[in-house]
Amino acid sequence: MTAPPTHTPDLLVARAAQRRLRAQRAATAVITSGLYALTALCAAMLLVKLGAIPDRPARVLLGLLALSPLMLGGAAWTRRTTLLDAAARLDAHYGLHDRLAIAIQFRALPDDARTPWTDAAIADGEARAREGLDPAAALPWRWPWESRGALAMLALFAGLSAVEFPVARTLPALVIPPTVRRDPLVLDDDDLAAFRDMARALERDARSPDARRAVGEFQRFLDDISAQRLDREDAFRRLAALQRSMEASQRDERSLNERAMRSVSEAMQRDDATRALSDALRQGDAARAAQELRALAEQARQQRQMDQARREQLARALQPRAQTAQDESLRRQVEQARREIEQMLQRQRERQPSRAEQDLLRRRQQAQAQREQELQRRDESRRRAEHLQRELSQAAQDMLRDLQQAAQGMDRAAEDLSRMNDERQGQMSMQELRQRLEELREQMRQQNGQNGQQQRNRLQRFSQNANGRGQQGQGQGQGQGQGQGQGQGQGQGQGQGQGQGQGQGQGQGQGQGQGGGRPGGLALVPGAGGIPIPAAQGATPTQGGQQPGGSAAGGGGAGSEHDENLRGSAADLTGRTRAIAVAGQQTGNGPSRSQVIRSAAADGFANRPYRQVYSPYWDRAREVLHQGEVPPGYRSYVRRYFQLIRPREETAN
Amino acid sequence: MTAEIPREAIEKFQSDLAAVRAELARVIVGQGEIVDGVLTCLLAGGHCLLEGVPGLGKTLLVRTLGQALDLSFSRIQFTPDLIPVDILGAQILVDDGKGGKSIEFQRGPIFANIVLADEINRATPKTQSALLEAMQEQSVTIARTSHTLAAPFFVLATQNPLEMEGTYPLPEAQLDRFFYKLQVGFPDREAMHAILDRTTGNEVVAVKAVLQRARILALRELVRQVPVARSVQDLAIRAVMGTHPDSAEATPKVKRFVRFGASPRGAQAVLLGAKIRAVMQGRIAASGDDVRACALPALRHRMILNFEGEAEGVRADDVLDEVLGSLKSKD
Repeated sequence: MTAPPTHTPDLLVARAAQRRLRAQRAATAVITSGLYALTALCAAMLLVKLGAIPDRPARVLLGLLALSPLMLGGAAWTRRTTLLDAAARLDAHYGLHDRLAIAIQFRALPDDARTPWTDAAIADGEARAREGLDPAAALPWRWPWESRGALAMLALFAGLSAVEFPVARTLPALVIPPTVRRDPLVLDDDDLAAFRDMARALERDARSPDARRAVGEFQRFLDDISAQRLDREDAFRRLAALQRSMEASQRDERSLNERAMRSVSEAMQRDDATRALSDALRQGDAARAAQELRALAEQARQQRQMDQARREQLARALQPRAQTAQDESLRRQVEQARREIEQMLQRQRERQPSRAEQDLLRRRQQAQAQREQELQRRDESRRRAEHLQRELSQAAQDMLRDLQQAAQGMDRAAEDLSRMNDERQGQMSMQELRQRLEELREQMRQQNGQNGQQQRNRLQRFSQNANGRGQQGQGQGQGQGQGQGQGQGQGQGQGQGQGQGQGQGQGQGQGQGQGGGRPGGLALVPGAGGIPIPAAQGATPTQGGQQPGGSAAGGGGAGSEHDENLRGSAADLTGRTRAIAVAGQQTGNGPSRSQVIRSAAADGFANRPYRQVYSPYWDRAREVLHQGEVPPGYRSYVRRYFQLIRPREETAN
Repeated sequence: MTAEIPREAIEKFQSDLAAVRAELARVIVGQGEIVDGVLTCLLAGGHCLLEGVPGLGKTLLVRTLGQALDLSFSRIQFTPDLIPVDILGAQILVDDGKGGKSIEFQRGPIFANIVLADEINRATPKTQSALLEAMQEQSVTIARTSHTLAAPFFVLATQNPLEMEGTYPLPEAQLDRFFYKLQVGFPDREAMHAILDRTTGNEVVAVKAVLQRARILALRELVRQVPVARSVQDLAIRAVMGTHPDSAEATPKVKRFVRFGASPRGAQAVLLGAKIRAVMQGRIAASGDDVRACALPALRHRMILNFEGEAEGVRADDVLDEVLGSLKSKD
């Protein structure tokens, strides 16, 4: 007996029912799991909208939840749904008493297991299958009860997706550089205070925007150092950038202005009335030139009746001859550099540039920016000079027609000169600032370089010494005197002391002193105006500190003690002095200069403000430092000394 | 044999049974299911236990069946004083008429094709057990001599579920020998009218024998040829396994109220009954519906309820309904 095929066309209805059953199971799985997934999706979406979940995890979560019904549906589809199940459904629906299922099972029997009865059962099943069984009727599509819930949740999810909640999202925290670097640059507070004072003075004097901007940068730089926000490398980089910007803004600007002023001064030399103006212009003194021009304008206003010859003479004197030339060379450089940079950019777009090429491009772009900035400044300066020339030319023409008009033109020209003067002042401020930057660089280099700690310690000792505080022993004196110099003092020290006193106002003084480790020293005693002046040297080895001051203040008594290592007797405070001639000794430390001291002494210390006394000293000291007459290792001591004794904002006047 | 032969055999089978049913219907009103159940037991070669209150026609049914089938019939009224000898027979001294005497075996009422054991639960267990060997082995052993019972041997026992005073419930082993346990229900109004019409008049109905002994034996062979698909057989097995409280198929009621489940003989009864039912309905193979229909009469007396089940008056049919329901939901 030959077994018929398991699935004959007669039983295809069971196969169709099987597919329908699988589809229904898959759909049920999708809808049922979709309800729960949509519920979770709504919750997740709400959390996302409220910002409770970060974006990236939220996307992953939403994706998984959205995919989960599909995955479960796929699993339900692939789940084994036997043909027997489908046939049983058909049998049950049509009341076939398992005829189809039995036929399918008997078909699977081996030949030797077949009997006429099994074959008859198969034939019976096939006959029933041919009776037009409808799988759709046997397996009607039944939406699971979760369908409505799933639809509702889907609508809710769509609504939640569309609605934007006004929730303040937590942005990622800004990365703020740490306030304290690992190896911050540290400058002494006193040094910083000195530089701040300088910066404030420069700020007051700065008139041009460039100067004000540069001073502002300098102050911010000091603030960063003070807050220890810069390490050594950053500090030097900032300093170098600041210096570069100042150099770029300074280059040739001054000469441009002076050249413009000289160009209009030649004709003025011929006339007596304009000769002073001409001199000022030739010397590049814009302030004086403006003053002379305003005086000339005032003179023209007052001389309403001026003969024509005089008018023509003045007109010729005011008429400028030379014209400022454009700097075509720099402009060509700028254009050429711009083309080169564009070519480099084009090459880098075509292929991946190397690191060296990128660095080169960056450097060229920086240089180009500086050149363009310089060109812009030159153009501005040239326009200003041309404006001055036009104003003077107009004034010369007006001189022949209307003196009032000519006077107004001269006033306008004076304004131009005043602006030039402001620029000049700004340039001077910039020059001053550059010097301060150099000093600051030197301070940074010394205090934070190799052996920086030792250097700082040395400078600290020096500072203490300059302030009158020694390392060994402590002596502190405080004296107050009013009127007749009444006061009291306390002193305690070891060895010989150095003293510094500051007095202020009407006989009130305060003295402070410490014993020093070394014999001898320099003592500054308060003068009449509270200004410390160098006092006589000398102190006893055992008595340091202050004694009641002189006639007006407390503090250390000048010459009250004597250093035995020095020649000569101690100063006699009773006024019975006598000159002692002391022969100089060859110390091998080089020449000394006493001109400033002498000139200052000639003018007298007591009746001049300390600031005016201090400045000549400090200027002379700078001159000496600049000329290289002080060994490099000691220059910092000189600068520091003058910083320490500088007139303070609150005390000096 | 071709596919047409089973079809013809089935049709002949149906016509024979229809004749029997018709003859029975002349006397018995209604009780179609009981009649089919009794016939099923007869064709399966098993025995039937009828349970019902008195007066429902149980005895009449059995007697009529015996007449319709042209088989020998004996009725045994079980009483407490009945002894096994009364059922099986005894060797007695017999006068041979020539002055000689001999010992002969006098057959008891069990030697018949159809034996009605009326109110079987009223006899003592000893007497009940005398029936055990005859029901199972189809033979009787007396004085070391085995006497084979003539085929077909068919025991129909009845019992009254109400009068439990002075009764001896059948032991589980003996209950297991019964193929079916049929519960005879009270007839409905129409059936009562018909019963009254037939029994209160002068009309006497003579039942003809429509099915001979040989034919009955042939039908017995026929029904055993009915094929059963694996899924249908698996359903029968699961139905039996479901009655065991410690099986995975057990339902909550089974776990709670059943002490012992049906034996494998119960599965045999279910499947064989399903086959006969399929053929009775003109089908070639037994189906799941046949299994479900036969499970109740085949298994209800093979389950032993525990004390809690007995105390709460749980019926075996309720437990089986739950088991069959669970099988349906798992399909």
